[in-house]
Amino acid sequence: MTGIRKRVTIGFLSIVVLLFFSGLVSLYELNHMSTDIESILASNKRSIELSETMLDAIRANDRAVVSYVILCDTSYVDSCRVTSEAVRAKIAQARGESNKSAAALFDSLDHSAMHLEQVVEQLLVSRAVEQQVLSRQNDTLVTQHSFNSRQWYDKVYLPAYNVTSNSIMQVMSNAQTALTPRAERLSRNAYRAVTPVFISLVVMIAILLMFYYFIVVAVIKPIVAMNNSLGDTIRYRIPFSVKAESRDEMRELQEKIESVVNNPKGQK
Amino acid sequence: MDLRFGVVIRYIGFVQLVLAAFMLLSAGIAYVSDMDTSYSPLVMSSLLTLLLGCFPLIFVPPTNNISQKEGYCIVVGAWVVSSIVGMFPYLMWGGEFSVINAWFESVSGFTTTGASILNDIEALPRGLLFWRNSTCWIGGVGVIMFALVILPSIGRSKMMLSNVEISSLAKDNFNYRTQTIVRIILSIFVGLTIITTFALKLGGMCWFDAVCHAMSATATCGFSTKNASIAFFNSPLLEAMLMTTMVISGIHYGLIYATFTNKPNNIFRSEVTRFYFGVIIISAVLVALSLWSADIYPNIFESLRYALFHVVSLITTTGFATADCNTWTSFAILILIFCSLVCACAGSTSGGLKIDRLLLAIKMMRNRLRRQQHPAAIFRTKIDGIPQDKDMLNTVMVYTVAFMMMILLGTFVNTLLGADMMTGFSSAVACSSNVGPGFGDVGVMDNYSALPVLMKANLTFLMLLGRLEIFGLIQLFFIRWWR
Repeated sequence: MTGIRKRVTIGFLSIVVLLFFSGLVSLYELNHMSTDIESILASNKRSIELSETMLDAIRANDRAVVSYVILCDTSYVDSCRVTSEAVRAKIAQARGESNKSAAALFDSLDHSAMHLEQVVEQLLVSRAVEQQVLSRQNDTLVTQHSFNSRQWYDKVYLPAYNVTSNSIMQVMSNAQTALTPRAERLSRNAYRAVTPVFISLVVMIAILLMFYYFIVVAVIKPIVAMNNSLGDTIRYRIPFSVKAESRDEMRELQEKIESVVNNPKGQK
Repeated sequence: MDLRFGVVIRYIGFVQLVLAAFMLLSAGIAYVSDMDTSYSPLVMSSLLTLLLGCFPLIFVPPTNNISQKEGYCIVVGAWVVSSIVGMFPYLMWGGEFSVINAWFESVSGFTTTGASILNDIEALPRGLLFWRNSTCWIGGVGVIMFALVILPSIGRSKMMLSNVEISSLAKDNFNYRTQTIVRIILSIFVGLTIITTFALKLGGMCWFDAVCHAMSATATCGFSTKNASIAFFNSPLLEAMLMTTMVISGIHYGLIYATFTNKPNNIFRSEVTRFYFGVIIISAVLVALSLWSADIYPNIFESLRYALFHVVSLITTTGFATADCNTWTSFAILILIFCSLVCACAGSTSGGLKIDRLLLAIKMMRNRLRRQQHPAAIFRTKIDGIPQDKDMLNTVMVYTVAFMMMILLGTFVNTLLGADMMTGFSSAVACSSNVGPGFGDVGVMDNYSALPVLMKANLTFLMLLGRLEIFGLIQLFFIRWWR
């Protein structure tokens, strides 16, 4: 490599390549990170949505049971059954979208939801039988039940309801916990995204320092030396003498200046 | 002649190209190992190193005329820059490698010390493990010596660089031309690595472990691919193979070459080599007797097995381990520390004081006593019957004192930074002599990870000082006043 232009071009190209390389690496890593973050957020959002639908379903069931048992509104009989089935359906849907690690928790949730459904079903059956007996006896005091509805709600339904809703909360917190390793992996990826860029910057600073040094040595110093020597020649008639060690444009310039300045002297 | 900075950078750049090639090779290992996690860090590091190495070649034209001053700067600069560049794959991979840890591991590799900050070596992917062992292999043959092979220029440039690389004592023993020295070192080094690899494979190691351990043993580094080092394999056959490689690597390379080529000045006639073997045997027997008498091992043969391996491992500055010698008797530990101080022969890849200097010091002491008895008599200190130059003897004594001062200062700094006496002293000895494991908190079954950051920095400085035979590094700071 002889020409200054070639060297400077290659020098600049090296820096551009380095910049491009570090940019590319950081873009790749950041893109990776962004995908990871999106995936974590989507999983998180979905787990919250599923938990909410399960909780909504169980609350709807609770409202129906309260309306039927406590408020004695018989129009809620079907609603009790439908909402119980809805709870099971929502759980099945959430199970379908969850990973295998949560299978045990879903088994437990399924079990408690099934218990809750059985409790409601038993109530509905017993109340239906009771209604038949009462209508046969032509008893007008429909509101006087053979069992204490408030007690049944507190002692039988509410514990089953609490177990199921707690199981849903457990499933939700488990889904959140399952995201932790992914978040940790993300922090490692963040380190990996930053380190190559940082190292590339260090290398670039080293290259820039070398580039500066080489420009000073190959371009600036010879120009200053030729300028000083030419000034001395003009002012004091001292022969132009600058020693060129390189074989590039600077040498050509030095030779041309030398021939212009010193040759007329030689001709005399 | 003034120092030409450009020329220094150009030759350091050549060394970086060698590192880039080894990084690429390690990336290849990562690729064939199911594209493990070290693949992209190694490829990226390789590209960056390639760029760093190529850049000076564009601007600085080749030269055959390198001054001694420039030679020193190239050697020291190459070692420091290689250690910095060697950090790149570690830093990009992450894991246990913080900046100081990566620097420690890299310097430890290039100076063939073999001290590690890794708590779990086996957690490292194969590509990175191979790079780790490559650093010690490159360091073993000498970064500059390695680069000289690929340098297009010949003659004086090689001479000046070799002067720095081969310790002055070793150079006096060499009776070959510099080009021959380079060829000898490389052929012995590569040959020994290949033979050891095949031997270890036959002994029961997998190819990867065999290559890594062969590289490490030949370079007298001590990096292993297992947390328990050689104790993991629990094989007397493998231990015997590694011991043979370590002992050979601790001998003057010129003498090994002379032995293979049937030259008269061979291993068996060399007084230094005989002394080296003598020290190994006596030390091993003393350690074995101490272990046997303390009932640490059930019989004398078992004691001898472990004692011999550890004496060889420490005297050759390798640092492999087959047992936790931290639990051995104080006498055995003292003998092992003595081995870590004295180390193997000059002209080998081992570090430390060098056994040649010990032999000369003993002979000088004997002459001193005889001179007191016979003041008029003239006594000359001889090695292999050849009288040694007074200047050389003087240098030996100065170096010995400087080495002891370095260890003392290192211990002061270590204890100042919170290390206990044993850890501070033994880590200073282990790093100055490029041995690797010490005693106390930095024993063979422990590592340097728990040490404070400043202490790690101090130990890496000691490693570089020890590897460059103290004055090689110190002179760099006085380069301006150097005529």
